[in-house]
Amino acid sequence: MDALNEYAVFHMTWLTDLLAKNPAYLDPGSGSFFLQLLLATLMGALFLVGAYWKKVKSFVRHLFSKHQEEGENGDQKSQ
Amino acid sequence: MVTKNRNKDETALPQRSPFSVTQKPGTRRAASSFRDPSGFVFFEDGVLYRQINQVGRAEYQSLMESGLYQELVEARLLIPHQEKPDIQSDSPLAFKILRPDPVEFISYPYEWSFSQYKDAALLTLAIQRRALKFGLTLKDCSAYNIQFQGGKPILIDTLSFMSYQEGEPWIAYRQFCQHFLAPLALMAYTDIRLSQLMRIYIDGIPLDLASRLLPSKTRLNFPLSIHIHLHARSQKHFADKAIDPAMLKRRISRQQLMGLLDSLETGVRKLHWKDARTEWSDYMAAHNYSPAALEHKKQIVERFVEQIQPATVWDLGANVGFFSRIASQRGIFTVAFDLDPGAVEQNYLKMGAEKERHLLPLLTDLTNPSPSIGWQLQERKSFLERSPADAVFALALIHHLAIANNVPLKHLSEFFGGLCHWLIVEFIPKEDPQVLRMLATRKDIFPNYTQAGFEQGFGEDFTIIAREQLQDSNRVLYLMERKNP
Repeated sequence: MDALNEYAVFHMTWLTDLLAKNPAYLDPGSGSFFLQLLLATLMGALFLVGAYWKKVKSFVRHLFSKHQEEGENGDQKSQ
Repeated sequence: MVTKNRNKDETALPQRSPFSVTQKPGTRRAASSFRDPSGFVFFEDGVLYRQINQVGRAEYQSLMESGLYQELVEARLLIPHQEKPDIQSDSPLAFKILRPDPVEFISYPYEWSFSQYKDAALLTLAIQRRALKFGLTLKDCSAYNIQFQGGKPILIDTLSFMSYQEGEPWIAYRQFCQHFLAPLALMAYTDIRLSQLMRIYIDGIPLDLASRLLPSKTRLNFPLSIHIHLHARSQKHFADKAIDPAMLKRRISRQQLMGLLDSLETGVRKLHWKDARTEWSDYMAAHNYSPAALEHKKQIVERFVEQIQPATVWDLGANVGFFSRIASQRGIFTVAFDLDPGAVEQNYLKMGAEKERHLLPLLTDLTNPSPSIGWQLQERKSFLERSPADAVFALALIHHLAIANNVPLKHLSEFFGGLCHWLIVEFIPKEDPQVLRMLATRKDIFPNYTQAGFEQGFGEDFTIIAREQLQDSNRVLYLMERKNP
């Protein structure tokens, strides 16, 4: 019984150690891995550009609408 | 001798294996659940359980404690489960037993219409995004992890999640491309019927095959050109090469991973099935029934359903689900099978628009339904293995099987006998315009195909409870009950 328990514990530890680093059992494929690396740079840049592009757009809009408001106020004041 | 171990009870696996279930009688591991050492799914006395092994403990705890489980279950994106501390596993490798909520009906990607498949793909990506918010990531992207429940796709593999370490690439990327993107692209650009390739390739369509079958204009589609065409070439290039250790050290930031997911989502969203008008999708406009006959048929089926009160219904040859809805709108879970991808698609789209919850449209050829496939032909269940239903509708169907496909009436009776307890079946006599059309260009080798022959053919397996002639038509509707064997 003891030997069996010991074996089970040993097996568990070995397996846990092995899988603790990578609990995924799936073969990701080296070709797929490489492609991700290749894409990462490209995609990350595009994603960033996309995120900042929205900020740029809303900034410009805000700027533009402020000018319009001042223009109207100016008209009203002159009356 | 090949069959040496065939009869060996799989519960007799040594206790040291991460896949052994208890020695209790009435317990068996689900045959599709063996690849992941973190745990597996098993049946005990007909109830489905999931065992989490010690090696899967950390993954499970992060899922439960991070808040991801709660969010996904509330949004109905992940199947809920109960922990079962009262169930003990004999194995020292077990950590915990869960009882997941049962799924109404198990279906497979090769049975889904285009939009069902697309929704399943988008769900997978949405779940991956949410997981990343909580510091987790999907470790696999199998299409078999998705099922349909209450009319919508849902993730059933609770053990699909692992901790996300920033810098690591997405392990499931290849599988997503093979299980989701490739089949969808082929359905959209080449032929809708190519989802059947999922029956042959158990781990998704190989990307080199998809690349070859897709038209060259897909190379101008940015996501497809990368995730399928370039991906296929990359796989081929690295097929026989040793991995450069320097490459393994390269990192992918969270930002870049989000970019990848964005690209995949765009790729999926841009796919549309343009040619959705098929032979049968115009049925409701083109059928032979007069309005009176159609209404009468509907009333008869309604009455039969009220009489038998079935718990579940399979509508075979359901087309766009006109009659399936007689059951589903009464809250009876109904699977609507049809041969025509256009009909199944229309049925599913209507279901989504009306937010129906008790219907599941699926693609099936009754003369060649889904076989069991996978390792030992046990991973994915055949059509027959997913029976019985309480009741089957076989409306406007018999003549297709008996005449067009030459199936003898007695064989048909046996077939239905294995599927259900109650049968609502329509007999279409030879004088019917559709049958006349079928027989116009061939020899009439069907001397038994008469109403009397039909009743006799079915008489061995079924008792005829009711028989009603349709108004304005020579078709006859029957309610039958299966005799006990």
